[in-house]
Amino acid sequence: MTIASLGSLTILLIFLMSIVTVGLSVAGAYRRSPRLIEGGVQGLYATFGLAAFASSLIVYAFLSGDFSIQYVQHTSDSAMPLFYKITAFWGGLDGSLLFWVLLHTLFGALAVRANRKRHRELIPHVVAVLSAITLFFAGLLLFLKDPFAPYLIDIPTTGKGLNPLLQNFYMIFHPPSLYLGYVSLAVPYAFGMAALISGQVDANWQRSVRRWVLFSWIFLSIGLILGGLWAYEELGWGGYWAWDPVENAGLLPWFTTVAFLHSVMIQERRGMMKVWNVSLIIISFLLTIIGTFMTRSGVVQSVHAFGEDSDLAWTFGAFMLVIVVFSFGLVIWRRPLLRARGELESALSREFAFLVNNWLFLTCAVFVLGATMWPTFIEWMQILVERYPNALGWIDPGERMVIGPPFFNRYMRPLGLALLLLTGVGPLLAWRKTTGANLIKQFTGPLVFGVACTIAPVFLEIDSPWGLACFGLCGFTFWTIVQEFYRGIILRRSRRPQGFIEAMSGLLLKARRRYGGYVVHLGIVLMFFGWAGNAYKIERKTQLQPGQSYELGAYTIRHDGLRVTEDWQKEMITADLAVLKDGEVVDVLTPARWWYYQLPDQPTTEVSRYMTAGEDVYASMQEVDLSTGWTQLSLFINPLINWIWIGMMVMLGGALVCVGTRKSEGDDD
Amino acid sequence: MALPIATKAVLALVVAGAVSYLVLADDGEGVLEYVYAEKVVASPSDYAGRTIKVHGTVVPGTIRQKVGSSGDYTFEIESEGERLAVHFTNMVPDTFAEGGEVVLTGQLTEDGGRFDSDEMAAKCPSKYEEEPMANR
Repeated sequence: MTIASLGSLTILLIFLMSIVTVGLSVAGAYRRSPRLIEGGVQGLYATFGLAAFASSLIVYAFLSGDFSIQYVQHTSDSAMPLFYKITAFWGGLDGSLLFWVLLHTLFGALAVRANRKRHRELIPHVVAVLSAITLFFAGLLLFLKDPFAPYLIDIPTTGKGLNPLLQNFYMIFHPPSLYLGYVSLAVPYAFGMAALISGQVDANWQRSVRRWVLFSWIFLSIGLILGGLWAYEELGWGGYWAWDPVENAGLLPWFTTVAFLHSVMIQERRGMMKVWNVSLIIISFLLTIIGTFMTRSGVVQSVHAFGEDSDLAWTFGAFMLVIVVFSFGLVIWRRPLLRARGELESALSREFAFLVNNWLFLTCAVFVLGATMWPTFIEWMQILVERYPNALGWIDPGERMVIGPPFFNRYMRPLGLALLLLTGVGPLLAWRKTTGANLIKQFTGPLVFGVACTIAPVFLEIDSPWGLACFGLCGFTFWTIVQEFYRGIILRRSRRPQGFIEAMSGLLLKARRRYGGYVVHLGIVLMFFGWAGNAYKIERKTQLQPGQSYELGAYTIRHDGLRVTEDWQKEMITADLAVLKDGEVVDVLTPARWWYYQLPDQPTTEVSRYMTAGEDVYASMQEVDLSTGWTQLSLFINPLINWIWIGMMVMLGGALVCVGTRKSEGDDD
Repeated sequence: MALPIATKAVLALVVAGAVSYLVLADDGEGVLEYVYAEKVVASPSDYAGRTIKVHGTVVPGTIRQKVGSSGDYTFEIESEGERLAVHFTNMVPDTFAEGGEVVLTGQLTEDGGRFDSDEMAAKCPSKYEEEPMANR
C-alpha cells in the first residue's frame, strides 16, 4: 500500500470514527449509560490517534520526498532543509486542514482527560460537540481537500518547493501559533455548549475553560506578534500591520477572548452577565471558523489567501450557519437558567468598567470584521443582482471598493485609546461602588503623571494630537500600575518585614491573576507607547549610487558599495550603507535582494535595520542596477518601534503568570 | 441595569457624540472604488479625476522603463480584452511581471486615455500556491 492510499484511508477512518463518537456520546447522555459515554470518550482518543497517524504519514511523505502525492510535490522539494520539510506539513491549504484536525483532537483529548472526573455530567456533551467539529474538518479533508491525493498519471520526480518568502524563522511559527490559538477555542466552546445542554450553567464550566481561553489568547498573541515581525523584517515596507484580512482574522478572536477574560470575573464575583459570557465564547469560536474560512478560502482578496474555491466557501458558510443556529438556539432555550443574580449599582464600579471594556472590544471585533468583509459583501451582492435581475434588480450594490489602513486606523485609534484609558481606570475602581474619597486617593497620582506625560513631549517638538493623547494615557495607566504594585508591596511588608523583591514576587505568586493581569496591562502600555511613535515616523524613497549620501532625520546614510554573492540556493546583491550620526559611523546596514534559483523572477527583499531603544533606522533595497550602481532604497525612521515588541514580551510574561492560577484561586480579584 | 437615568443619558450622549463626530468627519480616506480595467475603458468619464483602484493583467511586451531611472514605467493592463495605458511613477514590487495581475491606485487622466498611478499591488498566483488545475 502506498503512503497516499494509506493516508486517504486514515482520513476516511477519522471521519467514520467521529460519527461513531458523536453517536455514542449522544446516546450515552440520552440513556445515562456510563458504558456508552465511556465509549464516546475512547472514540475521541482514538480519533486523536488516527489524526496523529495521518499527520506522521504526511510528514514521512515530506521527509522521503514522495512526490507522487500532489500536496507534497506542491509545497516541498528535495533540496529543502529538513526543518522546512517538516513545517511544509502546514504550508498549504490541505495540510493545514489536517493540522487543524490533529490539534483539535489533541486538545479535545487533553481537555476531556483533565475534566472527566470533575465535570462528569458535562463530558458526553463535550465529546459530542468536539467530535461534531472534527467531523466537519475530516469531511473537508475527505471530500474536498485530501492532502494525500496522488498524481494518477505523469508522476513528477521533483517538487516545486516552498515559497522562499515563507522560508523564514517567523513564518515557521506564525501560522501554527495562530492555529493553536484558533483551535484551542473549540474546547471552551464545547464546554459552554455542554453546560447549556445539560443545564449546569453555574460558574463551574467557566472555571475549567478560563485557562483554555487564556491559553488560546496567548497563542493568538504570539501568532500576531510573529506575523508583525515577519511583515516588518521580510516584506520591506517599513511597517508591521496593514489590516490585511488574514491578520485581521487572527485579531478578531483576540478581541473577544480579551473581553471574555474580563467579563468572566464579573460573573464569578457578582453572578451577572451569564448570557453575555457564553455568547462571547460562542462568538470567539465562530470567529475562529470565520478566520479559517477567510484565510483558507480566498474569499477575501488578500496576498495570503490560498486561491478561490467556491465549494469550500459554501461548505464553510453552511457550517457557520449550523453553529449560529445551534449555539444561540441553546442560549435562548436556557435563558431562564442564565438569569443574573446581581445588578449593576453604579457607573463608578469595576463591573461597569469591565462592561464598557466588553462593549469596546466587541465594537472593535464587529468593526474590523465588517470593514474586512464589506468589499466582499458588495461583490457578492453584485454577483447575485447580476444572476437574479428579476428578484433583486431593485438593489444597487454600488461599486466594489477597497478599504485600506487609513480607514481602519481612523476608527481603531480612538477605540484603542479609550481601551487604554480603561486599562488604567478599571483596576482602580472598587466592586459595586467607589466612594468619592477613594476616587481622590486612587486617581490623583496617575492624573498628575498623565498630564505631565502629555505636556513633556511638546517640548521635544512633538505636536501630533493623537501622539500626545497616547503619551498622556500611557503615563496615566503606567502610574496606576506602579501605584497598585507599590501599595501591594507596602502592605506585604507591613504584615511581615521582607525585602522589596521578595514582596513583589510574593504578590505575583500569591495573587497571580491580579498582578499577572497588571503585568499584561504594563505590556499593553508599552505597546501603545511604541505605537505613539508612529506619529513621528519618517519615510523616504531615494536612489543612491555608491559614494553618495542621503540625510534621513538626524542620520546620514552613505552608500558604500554593492556586493554580489551566492550560495547553493540563491544569488544575493547586498548594499553596504553606512549610518552616520554627528559625523560618526554608528552602524552599517546591509539591505539585499535575493534571487532564489527556484523562483528567479521573484527576488525577495531583505531588510536591514539599526535598532536602538529610541528608534529603528530601517532600509530595504527596492531595485538595483549593477552596471551603473544605481540603488533604489526605501528608508525609514521608526521611532519607539522596538517598544512594541518589548511590550508584547511583557504582556506574554504577565499572561504566563496568570496561567498559573489554581482553580481554587478564583477570588483573588 | 439599575443605573440612574441621568447616568445613562450622559453615556448615550457621549457615545452618540463620539460616533457621529467620527463618521461625519470621515473624509473617505482609505476607502477607494475598485474596478476592472474594462469598466474604466468603457466609460472613462465616470472615473476621470478621482483616485480609484484598477485591476488588470499586465500585457506582455508593453513594459517600458524610462532610461536612467528606476521608478518610471509605462505599460498596458488588460481585462476582458480591453486595454488601458498606464503611467506608473514609483518603484514596482518584487512580484510585478508581464502577464501578472496588478491592482493600481491612481487617477485617470481627464481625456480618459491614460491611468496615472504611483501605488501597485502585484499578485503572482504562483507566489503562495499554484492554481490547482495548472498541474493536472
